Amino acid sequence: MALVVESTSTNSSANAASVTVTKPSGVATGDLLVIVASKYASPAITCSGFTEAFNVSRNVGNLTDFYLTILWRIADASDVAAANYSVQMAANDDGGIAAMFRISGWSGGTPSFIFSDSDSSLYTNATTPATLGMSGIEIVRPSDGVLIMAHTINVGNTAPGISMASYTVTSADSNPSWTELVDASVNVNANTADNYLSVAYAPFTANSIITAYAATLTESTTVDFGWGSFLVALCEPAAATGTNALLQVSPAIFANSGMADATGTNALLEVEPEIFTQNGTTTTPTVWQNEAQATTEWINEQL
Amino acid sequence: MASTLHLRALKTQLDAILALGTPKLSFMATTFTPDSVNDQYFSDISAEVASGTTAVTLASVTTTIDGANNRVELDTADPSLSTVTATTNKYCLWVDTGVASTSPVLATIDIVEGTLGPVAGTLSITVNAEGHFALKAV
Repeated sequence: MALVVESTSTNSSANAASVTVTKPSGVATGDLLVIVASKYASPAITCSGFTEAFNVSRNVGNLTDFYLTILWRIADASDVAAANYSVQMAANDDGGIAAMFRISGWSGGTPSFIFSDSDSSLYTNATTPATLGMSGIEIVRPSDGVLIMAHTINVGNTAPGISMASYTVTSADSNPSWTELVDASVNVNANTADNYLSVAYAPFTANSIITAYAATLTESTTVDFGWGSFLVALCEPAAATGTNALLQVSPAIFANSGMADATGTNALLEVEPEIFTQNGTTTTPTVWQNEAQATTEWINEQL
Repeated sequence: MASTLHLRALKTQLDAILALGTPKLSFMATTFTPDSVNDQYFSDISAEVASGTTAVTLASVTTTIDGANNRVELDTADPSLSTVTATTNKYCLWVDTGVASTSPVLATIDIVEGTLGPVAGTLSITVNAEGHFALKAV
């Protein structure tokens, strides 16, 4: 079932600790209730029974500080009975602005906010841009849903005359049709500063990836300001299953160099033995021969 | 006479790599561009794992000689992650030795459908009937 923004409500409170928002019309059990709110400085914005999805904040200790948040809740019987909601701004003189959505078609489960937000940025009065937004982002839209874009600006000036318009997202599909819910400022911090909030939404059925978002900015007085923003693609839980093509890797077998059309033969290898001559010695034994002696006849001497 | 690698040797080599640890699959960010030369270990690619995902321990990991097609195939059970919000268009197969700097990366494989973006849902791959990849003998 497609998500549909059925009704909305907004409110702001100057220099106050809370903002009371009237419950959007027709709330039924199971509806998704979303609050987008901004305030001067920190700490966090809260609302009883709501869960914060994420926030963008700036806390450097001066009048450009801000807190921007998105809260959610699945409506039950108590919401059907409620008349309004108190969005707490935490400090007695913070003040702030809140916008509330009633979204039907939510089938259940924890909503997952696919978002991209800006780092808190400081713009000096010499560098006020014509547009504010983010590029180089990647927001995948797996199914139908609702885009919510929000910008907050905090300035040390009580009448900067800030306004935003012409909300756009960049994707392979055309920019959807936007409805601006909030484009307002409120004095904060005992009338020493101004907090501005713009919130716009656009249902979508496209599923291309969003790579950038922006809105035009005008202000009557150029002043230093702190800026924070986000773009959310709100979708129901969605599974995704992919497949793979078999990756086949073939080896490279290197060719060897060889001779073509050559037939080899061999000649009989005849090896003549080398017969080494032997040096030999012989020994002839000496046969002793008696020396021939004349015969001696001995004559006895006459005595 | 034809030159060829021998499939049993290819299978043995692949089995040896798989035996170094636990075969795993990681879904990668869409901005990840694999470097087939220098992406050697998981530590070389870990920074580009798709945000919101964790590594999937692969089950039923098999290497099979497909003689008819002259190749060794690597196949596993279908991997999946539940309750995930992420964006991915490819995955890496690697072997977890317990140390990222010694865990070899085997392959980076594109998801046929392109970019998947589950929202608090299940992210899964229906593995090709032949497997993730094959090493051919010729």
